[in-house]
Amino acid sequence: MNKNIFFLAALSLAVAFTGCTKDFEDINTNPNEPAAVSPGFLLTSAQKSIMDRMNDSFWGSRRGMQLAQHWSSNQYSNESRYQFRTEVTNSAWAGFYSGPLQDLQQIIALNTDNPEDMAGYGSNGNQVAVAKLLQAWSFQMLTDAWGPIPMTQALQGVDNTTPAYDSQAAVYAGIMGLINDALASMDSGNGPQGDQVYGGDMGQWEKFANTLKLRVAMRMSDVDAAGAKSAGESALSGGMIIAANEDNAEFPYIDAAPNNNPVNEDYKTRNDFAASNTMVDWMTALNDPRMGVFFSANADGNFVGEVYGLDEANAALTPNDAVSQRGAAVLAGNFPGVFFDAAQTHFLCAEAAERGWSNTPLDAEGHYNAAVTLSMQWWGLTDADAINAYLGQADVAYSTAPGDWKQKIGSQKWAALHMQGHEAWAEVRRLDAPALNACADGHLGGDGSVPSRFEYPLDEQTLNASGYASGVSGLSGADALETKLWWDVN
Amino acid sequence: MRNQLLLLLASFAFGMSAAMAQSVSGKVSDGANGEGLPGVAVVVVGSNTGVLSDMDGMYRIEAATGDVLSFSFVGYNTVRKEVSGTAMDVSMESGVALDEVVVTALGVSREKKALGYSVQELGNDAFTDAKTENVVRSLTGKIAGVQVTSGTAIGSSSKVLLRGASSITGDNQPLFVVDGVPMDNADYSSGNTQRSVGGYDYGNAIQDINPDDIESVSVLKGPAAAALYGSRASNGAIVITTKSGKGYQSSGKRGIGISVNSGVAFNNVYVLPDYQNSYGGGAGTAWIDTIDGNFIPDYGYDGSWGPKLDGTPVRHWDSWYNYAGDEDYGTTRPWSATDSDVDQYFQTGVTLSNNVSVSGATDESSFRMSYTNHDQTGVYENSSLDRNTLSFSGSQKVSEDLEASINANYVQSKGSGRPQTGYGSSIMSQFTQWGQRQLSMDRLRNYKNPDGSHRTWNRNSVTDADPHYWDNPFWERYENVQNDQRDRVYGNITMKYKINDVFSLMGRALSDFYIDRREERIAVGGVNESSYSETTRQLQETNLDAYLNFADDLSDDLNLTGFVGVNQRIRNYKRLNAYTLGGLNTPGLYTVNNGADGYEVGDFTSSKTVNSVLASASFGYQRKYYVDFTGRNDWSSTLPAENNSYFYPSATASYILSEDLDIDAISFAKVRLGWAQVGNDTDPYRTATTYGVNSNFGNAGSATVPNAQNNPNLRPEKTSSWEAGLELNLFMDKVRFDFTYYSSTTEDLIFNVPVSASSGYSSAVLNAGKTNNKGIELSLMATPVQTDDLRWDIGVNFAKNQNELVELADGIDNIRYTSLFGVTLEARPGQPLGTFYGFDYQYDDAGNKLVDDDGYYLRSETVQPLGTILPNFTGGVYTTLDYKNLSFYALIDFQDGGSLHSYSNQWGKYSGTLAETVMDENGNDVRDPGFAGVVVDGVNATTGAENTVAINPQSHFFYNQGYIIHAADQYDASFVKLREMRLDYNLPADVVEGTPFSNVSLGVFGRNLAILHKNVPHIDPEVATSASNIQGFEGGQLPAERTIGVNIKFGL
Repeated sequence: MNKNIFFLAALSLAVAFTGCTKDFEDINTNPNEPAAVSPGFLLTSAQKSIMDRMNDSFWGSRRGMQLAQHWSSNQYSNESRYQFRTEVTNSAWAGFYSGPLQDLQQIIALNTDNPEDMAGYGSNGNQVAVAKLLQAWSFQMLTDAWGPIPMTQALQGVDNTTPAYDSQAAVYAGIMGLINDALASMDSGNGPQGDQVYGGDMGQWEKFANTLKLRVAMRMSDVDAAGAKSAGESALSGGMIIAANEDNAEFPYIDAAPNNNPVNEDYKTRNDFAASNTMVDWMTALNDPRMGVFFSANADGNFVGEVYGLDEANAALTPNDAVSQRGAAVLAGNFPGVFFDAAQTHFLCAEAAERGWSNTPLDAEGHYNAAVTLSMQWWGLTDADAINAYLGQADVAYSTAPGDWKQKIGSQKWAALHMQGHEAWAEVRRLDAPALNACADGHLGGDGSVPSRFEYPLDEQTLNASGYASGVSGLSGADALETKLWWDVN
Repeated sequence: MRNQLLLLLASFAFGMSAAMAQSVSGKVSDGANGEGLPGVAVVVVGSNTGVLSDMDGMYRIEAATGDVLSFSFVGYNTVRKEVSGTAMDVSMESGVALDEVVVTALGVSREKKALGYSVQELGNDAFTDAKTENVVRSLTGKIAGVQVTSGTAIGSSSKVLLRGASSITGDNQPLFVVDGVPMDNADYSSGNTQRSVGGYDYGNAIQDINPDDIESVSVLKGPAAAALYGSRASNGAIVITTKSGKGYQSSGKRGIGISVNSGVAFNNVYVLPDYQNSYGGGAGTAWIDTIDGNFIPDYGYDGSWGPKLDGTPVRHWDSWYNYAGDEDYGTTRPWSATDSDVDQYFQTGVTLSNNVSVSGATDESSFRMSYTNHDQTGVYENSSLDRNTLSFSGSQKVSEDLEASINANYVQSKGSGRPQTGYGSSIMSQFTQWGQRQLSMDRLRNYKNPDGSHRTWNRNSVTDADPHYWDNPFWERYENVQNDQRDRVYGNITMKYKINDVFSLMGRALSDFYIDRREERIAVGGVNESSYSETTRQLQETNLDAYLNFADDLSDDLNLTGFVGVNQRIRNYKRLNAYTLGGLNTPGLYTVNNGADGYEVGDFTSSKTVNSVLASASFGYQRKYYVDFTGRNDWSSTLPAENNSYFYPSATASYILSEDLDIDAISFAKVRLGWAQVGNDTDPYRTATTYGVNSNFGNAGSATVPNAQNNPNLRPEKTSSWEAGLELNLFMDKVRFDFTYYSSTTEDLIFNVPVSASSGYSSAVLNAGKTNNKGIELSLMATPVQTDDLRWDIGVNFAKNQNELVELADGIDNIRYTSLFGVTLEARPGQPLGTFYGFDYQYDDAGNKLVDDDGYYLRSETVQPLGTILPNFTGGVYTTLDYKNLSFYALIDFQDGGSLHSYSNQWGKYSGTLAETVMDENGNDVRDPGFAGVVVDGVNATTGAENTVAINPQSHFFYNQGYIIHAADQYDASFVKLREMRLDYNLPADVVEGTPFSNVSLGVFGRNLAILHKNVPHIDPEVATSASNIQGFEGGQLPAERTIGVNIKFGL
């Protein structure tokens, strides 16, 4: 009897423990992170993380700025000699796909699945439009870095952890699709909340859409001339393009951590980059007034570039004060991150005019002069006489500058794209101008020419072997630095 | 518990009876003191006849002349004696740990011989005679199948694995239980610290356990031993019983006793890289400049490919500080090998350890109080670890049937000036990986100018005194000082109520609580942006238990013990961290709101509850056959509601073979077999999707879809294991042998699987994968010599574990733990968990390395497996020699195999600091301009002929090394170490008598005395920079430390 009582007592205790599960499931509700957020928060995060990556030390500086030969290495010079760190490749790829691209995808999904709930954060159509435009911008940067990339099967989470790669032609068609969708989706409602670039001004986003379309079209103009022309002309047809610096799509970094430009943050503790001799020599030859803004003079008061592609010992043996370092403007905490600027638009229009596309507002020379002028002005050089003097030089003036239109436009565009390293590298590959230097102490990767692309991330080989194989099969050659991209045919 | 077992035995033995013609009687006494031994089982061998000796040790049994009587008693060697008359006195020697009672799961004391699984136990001496600041380290080499890896610096981590790792990304360490309290053993190290890139090693929280308070430690390997602790013990359990007044009481003592243990120990570094002393700092042999006719070396370069150290007068780094009275300003000194090298950076660390305890007992109550102070200064200047432990335990019989007891511990642990670890920030990085060889530590010790500015060897240039890459190593010691403190309280309150002879009830509340606070500082004026950060963590775990225990004889032969119980476990964790942004406004002011750009604050809370019902039943039959069954059902809050309940059973059996064997050589033999399952849950908040919140951008909120995709359909993990064992004692127990084979398979492993980021997530929480561990454990102990005065024991522990990732879920090819400089640590199906991947050499069919036409090694086109972190086997050899009052102990432990990647080697060659960058194996100075260069061993890839092309040494040490060909700096981690030696002297009883002391002993000890064998140059192959699964990456390893000390123990 006694036994039974205590058995019962223990059993009832047991029931008491496990029975009180009413609030049990609530214990696993995460108190630290929200289950729902304003899509504006996602947009802010996406815009900032794109620009953070484009300006960071490894993807922005060591690759973009150095591949364009805007900058050289003060020391640790392997990347400038085309030996790239696999981890940076991994993290840049992942940084875009699982970062901003997925955040933008979520904005699209939220506005598609729960339009009523999202309407208070800007009209559904406008939120979707801006998200798709930023996706289009990012996909172009990614495909121009690697070639075939996952697009149609990407961003599906566990539903597809091994997305197949789309050919670069298909990616370009997809990018055009995103831009056209965005233009069609824009309405007269409110612009999206959380838009740090244009503050929700949909007129500006329409300009961005058209100008991006023009750039995408131009990039494929050598491989699909008709398609490029038709897309480019449609982009220019309404006159809604980024034509003035006020229209620039810029991310407005703030002069305080953690919202300062990554170049500024990096420079606080390391000074790995100096002006490249490629750029300094080019600017010196043309008396370029931007020299003193881009770079600072060396200890002797002269502008001298660090020789591009030195080996580590030679780079280290060049005292930092013997060569020009980066200028104060470039190193400022609030130096903006640039998605698109008016100078680019006018260079594109100049080229469109040369290619015989309709709807360009001016002729090639007019756009060329406008582009150079806007670049100078953007960098704070507002003295019209000085700009005209620069443009009046025989080696600068459109009519007399050396080379064909590709070389004229390509060279000036390259200089104007300072601080947009990846775009400068893409346009150098496409226009083959200006001619960049070979690595002074020889190359460590590729065939010695300026790389045409990056090798795919090792992570993709190990985590998405089938997708990786589909990507490699879509290349014109091996998964190597020297394999030319789809649009890089001339 | 011990008493209960004796009772049990007594009732068991008394139950046996038979009628025989002759009555034999006598006294069973303790050989040591001659006193009668009560409760000794006296059995006629081969019959069912048996009795127990009475309170005075007297027995009477019916037996015929020629019969053999067996006398057995817990803790004594069994005696067998042939009946030769009617009177037979027997003396028994307290024996080896055979019939010993060991502590098993849930603190249940069991006769070891009744267990169907492997348990090994260590006593207090193992932890106090050669004390370390982390009890885990004292397990090294002493128990088969226990693998301990430890950091070297003051208060650093120790990781312990029992029978290898089963989980890929979860915690593989066993559960630590102190007096029933499951102890938190969190590490909280950053990912960078784990992969040896940087940060401080704060150690894991189990080091709060005070060695002086330990009575015994039971190591329950494998899930069978620990099925009752639930999920957390699926990797085994380390069950610690602390000293209590109860022990004092049951040893028969009454009144008050005091005991003291004091020690002092000295630490010195003893494994330093083999450096070159022929060439100084610089990227090349040319002087970087000449100023006023004086040569200027390259201060800004952190490598030693510079000019030959030939005595040329030069302006050294410290000749540029123009302060009043600075004699070095403007002077030159010879460019020569340093007279104050890296070894002079370190000092002798001193550890003072003092413990006082007071025990007391009456017939109804007992208590023990203990205070311990551990005061340690490190081998790094300005570093210290100070730990104070107070503990109290007491028990009181409230009535004849009701007993209440309490155990409470307070530990305060304070660290300061811990050294940084890893590739990027360890002090050894700037000595070995990126150093200038001519630097003098004595000169660097003057690290600060009179105005407070930094004096650095690594100035940017003559005109720019800012540090380029490195702070002065002493600036780091005295300016960038971290501080940490953990205050911890743990203990339990227990009530036991004896209902009747069969049933008793126990209720307990157990709690572990701490606040852990860390402050990190970077001073203004160093190479890194100045900053201050604080992180406070608070953890509380409460366990509420109730058990109904029962013990009953179901028949004369069959006896049953067991319990049913309930447990609720509640764990709450909070973290608050804050750090400055944009540097510090006011130098030297370390507050969060001194940030130039303000500050950032983060917080995190997590809660988890597990409810459980559990039961155990143990059957013993004829003292020969034993069977145990356990079952447990958990409900975990961390799993989805539909999958949150899981049941797991175990069954073990043992058979005392020697009861049926009549072979003289075999004094004891037992076979055992066990099978168990353990379910496991996961971390909180992995089932629902939430957003990650970023810092605001200006006033704008910012949030992101997390990189890890959570899973609403998770199922519990399940580990199934079985083990079989044989225990054999031969030649009157002179040789003892214990062998175990085990196999353990974990299915439905929950982990955060890295997936292609193209999916939009870089990882997904999945039930994906299956792992298997199987292996053997062997311990062999022998007593070759045993006389009245002399006893010599020698023992060997050996374990071999094989581990494999059996399969992964569809669509997942591998799991990546981490990667660094292209070397990744991964798990792939068919491979052991933790396999290195990286580029290898290219080889021809004969195994020769292939060399290109320029004389460089060719690298494999794709990454290859380079080895696993798991060793082939581990073990220890120990010996004890007792001669009268002297006792000597020595322990050698070893590991065979296991792989590590050494960045000290990789970058030390790259930067030219290591000996081989000057001197090749033939004694040639490879840097001498007259020497042709380095010709690597290998064959030309196109011709197949032996390579003859000489290359410049600097290029060789870059292109042919681990940065390019990862395999070049992948090393075998085998070692043999002289781990521990000690000599103890107990003052003889006749000397102590007449003094106030009841006992006095003196000891001398040493730990980590020597590395007798290793295969990796320059570093200690034992690598741990965290207690996480990420192991095997070595970067800027802090040198191993040797400890030598003395201690005195006495009782009053």
